[in-house]
Amino acid sequence: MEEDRALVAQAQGGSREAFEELVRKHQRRTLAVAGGILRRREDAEDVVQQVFVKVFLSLRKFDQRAAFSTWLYKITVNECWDYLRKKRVRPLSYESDLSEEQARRYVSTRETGSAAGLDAGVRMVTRERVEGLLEALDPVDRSMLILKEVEGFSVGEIARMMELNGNTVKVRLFRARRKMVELHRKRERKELRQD
Amino acid sequence: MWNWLKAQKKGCGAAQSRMQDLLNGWAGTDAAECLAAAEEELREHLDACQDCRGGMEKFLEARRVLRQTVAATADPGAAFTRRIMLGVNAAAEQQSAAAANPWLAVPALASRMAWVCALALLLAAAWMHESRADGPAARSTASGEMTLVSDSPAESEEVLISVARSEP
Repeated sequence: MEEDRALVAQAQGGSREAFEELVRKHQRRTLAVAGGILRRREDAEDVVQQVFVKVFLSLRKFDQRAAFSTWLYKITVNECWDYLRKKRVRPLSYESDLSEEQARRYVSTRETGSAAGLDAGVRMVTRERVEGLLEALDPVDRSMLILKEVEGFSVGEIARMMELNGNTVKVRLFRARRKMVELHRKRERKELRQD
Repeated sequence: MWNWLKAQKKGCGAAQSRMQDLLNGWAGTDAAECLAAAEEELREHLDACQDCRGGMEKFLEARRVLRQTVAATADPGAAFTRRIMLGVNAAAEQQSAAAANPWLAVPALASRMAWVCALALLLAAAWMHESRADGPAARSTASGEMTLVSDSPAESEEVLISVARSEP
């Protein structure tokens, strides 16, 4: 936090190196915020680049009353919603988004079906199931759930970046979790009936 | 309705609220660990109530699958930083070029300039209308000649006096 303050002050004074350091420090989490909303890596990268340009151009106006990261994430969230509105991109993610490491982790947790030919199929089915669960959620709830459960942001951080009350975030997370559980149960019952 | 009443009786509402607080603060996915992290009162409720316990387990399972299948963002690395800085440098150059050339500010100020022009036109039109209303009005006579007649009584008297003086 203090390091950010010093870097912001230097960047406000015209230091491009200080700004580059801020980019280096915050690019992963900023990309995580954008990815949580847009769900497509390419779109998220484009938006994050726009965000940093915007931040650079308006850095002199930033009075440091809030933390730099809070300000940055707020701009990111707004840019993402704008991007979705303009492009009408359907938030989606693809099988290719699954990294090799994650695929390996997933397969290792399954006790059954470790035959090489089955891995991709199992991965695909699970992936589709999760996507189905996520698609059923409201876009804002889904973004919150991903930011909380996958990217590890706290309720307070999500509330600040989405400019919402902490309790509202808790309620929306509760709703999203409940909906996920209900859908999960429904699908299990359906699969049991089919078996 | 019956289920809701049953849930109220068992205290599921309060337990679920506590469970959400627990899930917001605890990041794990193991049900036994989650129970161990819970307050005693909540733990007792989850031991007794199969619905709430099942809900918690299902959510933890969903959380686990979510983490295993949805990619958490990895650091995009130095190449991405370079890409961002290229965009930043281009924007900075554009900004300094705009500051050096005042004509480049014209498109940016176009809408404001249009408003200012519209306001100036409106004021000019109002001023012209007012000045015409105050000044001598043109009226046509029966013979079709155009004569200038002032509405102001003071000016009419001056005209009569001047006519009287000019006539012998």
